[in-house]
Amino acid sequence: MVDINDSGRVAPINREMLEEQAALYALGALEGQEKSSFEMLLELQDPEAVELFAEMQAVTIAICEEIEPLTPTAAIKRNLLDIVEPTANPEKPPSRKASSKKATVTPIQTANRWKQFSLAATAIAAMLIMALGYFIYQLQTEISQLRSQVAISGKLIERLEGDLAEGNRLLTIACAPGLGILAFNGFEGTPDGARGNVLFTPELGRALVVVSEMPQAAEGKDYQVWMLEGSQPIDAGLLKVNSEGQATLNIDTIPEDVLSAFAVTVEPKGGSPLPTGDMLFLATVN
Amino acid sequence: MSAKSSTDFSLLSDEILILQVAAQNVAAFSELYDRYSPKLYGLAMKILRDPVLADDVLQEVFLNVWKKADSFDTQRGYLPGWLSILCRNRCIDALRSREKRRQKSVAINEETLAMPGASNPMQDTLNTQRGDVLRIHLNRLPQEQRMLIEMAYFEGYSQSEIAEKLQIPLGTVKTRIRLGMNKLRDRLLPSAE
Repeated sequence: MVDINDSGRVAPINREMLEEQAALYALGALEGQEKSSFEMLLELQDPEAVELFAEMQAVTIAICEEIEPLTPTAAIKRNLLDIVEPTANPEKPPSRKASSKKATVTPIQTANRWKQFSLAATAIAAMLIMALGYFIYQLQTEISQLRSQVAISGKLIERLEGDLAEGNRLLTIACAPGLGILAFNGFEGTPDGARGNVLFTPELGRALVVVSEMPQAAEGKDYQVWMLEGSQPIDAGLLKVNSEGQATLNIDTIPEDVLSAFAVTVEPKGGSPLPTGDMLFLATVN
Repeated sequence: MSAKSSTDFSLLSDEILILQVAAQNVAAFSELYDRYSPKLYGLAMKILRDPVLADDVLQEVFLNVWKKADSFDTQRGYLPGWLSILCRNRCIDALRSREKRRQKSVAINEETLAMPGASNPMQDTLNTQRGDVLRIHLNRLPQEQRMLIEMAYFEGYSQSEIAEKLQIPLGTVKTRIRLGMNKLRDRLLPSAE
């Protein structure tokens, strides 16, 4: 188990330190390089860090669950429903009002028994048709609900498979011999709080760039990662920030020649062949 | 028609309910609100102690759930926990925004704050929550551990802010929080021992 200190060097970390970091992280009080290092351990699925964090997070959840519930005013729910209803899925079950409609039978005016029978038969047929129509409608509604659940499950499976593949890639790098962790240094234009590291394994010729607390790139812009061979920049790919402000980039082929640094710049949408925008991060290879 | 066709959402598990909310089903959303709004509102009131702000936060949290329910991982996540964390984080954001506004508009008299009997947010928090079940567990912690955990979780202070505010070394803050959280873990989650 290792930690990255303020000078970007790798230092050993003991169980107590890890417990402290997990507790402070779950309480939202961990900050700076310690936060960055702990997030990296979680990103790498370090079993001890993951287990401790899960326990500490469960404590914070248990604390929340033991707080006395209070009933909010009814106006909040009304407001919420007014807001969400226009964006709701139109395939919803029929309203109570609609389902309680009953067929009305015209009173029989004539004494003609045949006509009475005919009218009764028509009414029964009409009721049967309505009941059947309602039954079909309900089935269609159930089918569409099930379809939407299947679609959601499909998306879930797809995402889990993606997570698994990503986890395997991270594990390969994390277990590689000669793994080095380089801390990114920020510049004047680096967003407040943004930070990152590069996991670098020269023996496998692979690297993993991890950044956090990053805002989304501005309209028409992308973040681009570069490898520097001396002063010669080589495009390593675009860094896509997720909704939680985190981004990772897996670099599979690092040049065999001497690599001097990794950098992140702001470039026009889709990236540039050479860096043109502000540099946000630089990590130097010793 | 079977009872299943007119779905009684109150019978659905959390996992199915959140999938239905992700499919933008208003009835499921309404049930989710009924199921969890009292807990989240209690949490918001504990942190904010301001009904107007707590109303706003509760509404924002549920709107966020409506928009982002599909990002909740039903395989690995625990819905009440996810909602508590969303609510707590939003409350701390609101607390910080309110604090910034106050700092801009009010010149704080440091001497008044230091006077005995003057308003002390930390002590207020301790006083107003008497009777909570939470007190039973938190009160059993040594005061110096309990106070730091509450400052971090319910007031949103970072480790260095706590050290600065209480004038104690950062290492002491870390140790006390670790010891306190470990004790709470052992009491609240006996299976984790």
